[in-house]
Amino acid sequence: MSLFFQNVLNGLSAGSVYALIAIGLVLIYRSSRVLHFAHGSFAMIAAFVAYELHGRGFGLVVSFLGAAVAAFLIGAGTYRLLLDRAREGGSHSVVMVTIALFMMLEGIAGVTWGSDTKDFNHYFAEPSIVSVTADISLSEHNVWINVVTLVLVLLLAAFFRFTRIGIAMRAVADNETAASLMGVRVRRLHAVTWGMATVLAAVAGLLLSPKVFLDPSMMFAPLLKAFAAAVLGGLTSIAGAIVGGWLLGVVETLVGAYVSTHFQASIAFFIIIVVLVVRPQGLLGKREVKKV
Amino acid sequence: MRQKALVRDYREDLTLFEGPRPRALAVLFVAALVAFVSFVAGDFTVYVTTRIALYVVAAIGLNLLMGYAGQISLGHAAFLALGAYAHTIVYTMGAPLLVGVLTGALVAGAFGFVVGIPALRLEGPYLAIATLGFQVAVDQVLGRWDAVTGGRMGLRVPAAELFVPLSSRAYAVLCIAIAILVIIGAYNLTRSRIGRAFIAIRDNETAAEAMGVDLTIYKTMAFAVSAAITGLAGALLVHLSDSINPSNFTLLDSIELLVMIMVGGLASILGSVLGAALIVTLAHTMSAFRDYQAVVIGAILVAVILFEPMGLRGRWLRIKTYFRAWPF
Repeated sequence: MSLFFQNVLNGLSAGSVYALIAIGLVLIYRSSRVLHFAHGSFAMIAAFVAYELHGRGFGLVVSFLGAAVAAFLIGAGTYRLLLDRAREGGSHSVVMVTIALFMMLEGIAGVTWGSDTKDFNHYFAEPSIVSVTADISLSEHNVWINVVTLVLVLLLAAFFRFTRIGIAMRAVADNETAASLMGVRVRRLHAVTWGMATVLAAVAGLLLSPKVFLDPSMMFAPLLKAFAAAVLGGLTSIAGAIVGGWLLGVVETLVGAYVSTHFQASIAFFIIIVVLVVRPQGLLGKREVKKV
Repeated sequence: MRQKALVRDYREDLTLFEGPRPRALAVLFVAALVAFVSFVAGDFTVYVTTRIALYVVAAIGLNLLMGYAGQISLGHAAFLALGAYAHTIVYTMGAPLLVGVLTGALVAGAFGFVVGIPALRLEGPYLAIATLGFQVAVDQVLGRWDAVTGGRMGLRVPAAELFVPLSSRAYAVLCIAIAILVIIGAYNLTRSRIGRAFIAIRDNETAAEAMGVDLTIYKTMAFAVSAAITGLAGALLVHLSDSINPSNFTLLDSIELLVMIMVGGLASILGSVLGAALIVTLAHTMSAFRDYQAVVIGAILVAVILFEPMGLRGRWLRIKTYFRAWPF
């Protein structure tokens, strides 16, 4: 039984990362109705920025802050310069622009940093283990992942509840026209949302980087998992994205432990397809009613 | 004869060629292309021309679904793969070339029908995610199912043989012929009752249904027809190399197909042809700068979406109208 709980705990750690990426996808989708296929590529660029800064002698904290600032600027800038215009062209145009960004960023990263993998193990020289109970333990890395995720989720909840910007964001998500009539600067707010979402993804990328090596496609698999998590929770619900991420992480780890590691990678797509067929609005999402 | 600047009734708007001169030009162009491929072109040019012809077919398949019926698909390389594998397996067992190719198209079409069923309930971003999942799932099954697909190593492809062994030039002519058949067939489909139903679904599902368009039938049909045409292209593509494996049909290939139709122009057969020709040519002439290929193609895509949403075909129409309406 303790092995089972051990697996669940490991799954939650993996799921935390998916949740962080999925929250960003949901934020972006809810505010500007864009399904962001380059979300992972932005995080990858941010991770490389941290790697570069660290390589030039800056401390870890400075490097991470630099990466976060870069992520915010990339996210907000992309919205202001590209997506804001592309949205006028309809949903196909929007999806294609994010796909084009995905291609371009992976290409640029490949040219700039080479496609060979880079080791960016910024944690601790010896992987230390933290015991939870007598039989269950967690690597220090996973503790960090869980703590950072929890803190960010709580901060985000407080942000949406108590700050003016957070409340304005919710208003824009609910009804863009009404919000803009009430004096909310909709475009600027969209850009801020994009920036915030990209920072979350960048944090996920930095948390992952000791586990996966840095390379231009490092965030592709996590992004697909995050899509699965977001769809599972309902593409419009932030709480759903978190629950979906954890659920996906746990299911994935359990399948890997008890069924076969072969299916571990496919489980996300299986979940996507089952959820979309059985309950397209996801676990916590609201069904969108189409008005004629 | 002077070309008509004004379209006076619906039938005129739908004709394949506006009068005898464009038709003669088209026939001349095809004859010149065939002559060029048969006698003049070097090996590499023949190879690229064949690829262009086949990607024209695949792009038309995707454009029928995305441009005309308005359903997005990020998984069309999976249909290429299904056509390619089905054809290779049947062909290796000794079936004639055309039977194998048809099998490829039918298998892909059947899978297209299956993907079309969940698509009935999904739209926009959800459909994009579902088809992305399909793409990755097909890739993984092909990579794992060693007994049938040869796993990551893939399958060997026997040389193309249609009654007699085909040279690469003869194969190019065959592919051009098939591409022309598909162009004419797709063009006719889009101006038939079915094509109009697709367009109606794209423009407004609810209105289409209220006008008597059966969504279940026409949406699954759009997926099946689109997948079958793409599968046909996939089946013919295998003979351009001597083996196939799952890495020939990845998400990036799906994206490349999307780029072709976006750059060429959505909901346009001519656009599919132009887009496929441009992107395939670009991919092969830029092989010296392989690393930059994705960047350049992505930049082209963004530029087209922002500055010319109707693609090359829109530009072409504008140029044509300008000269016709000259001096106004």
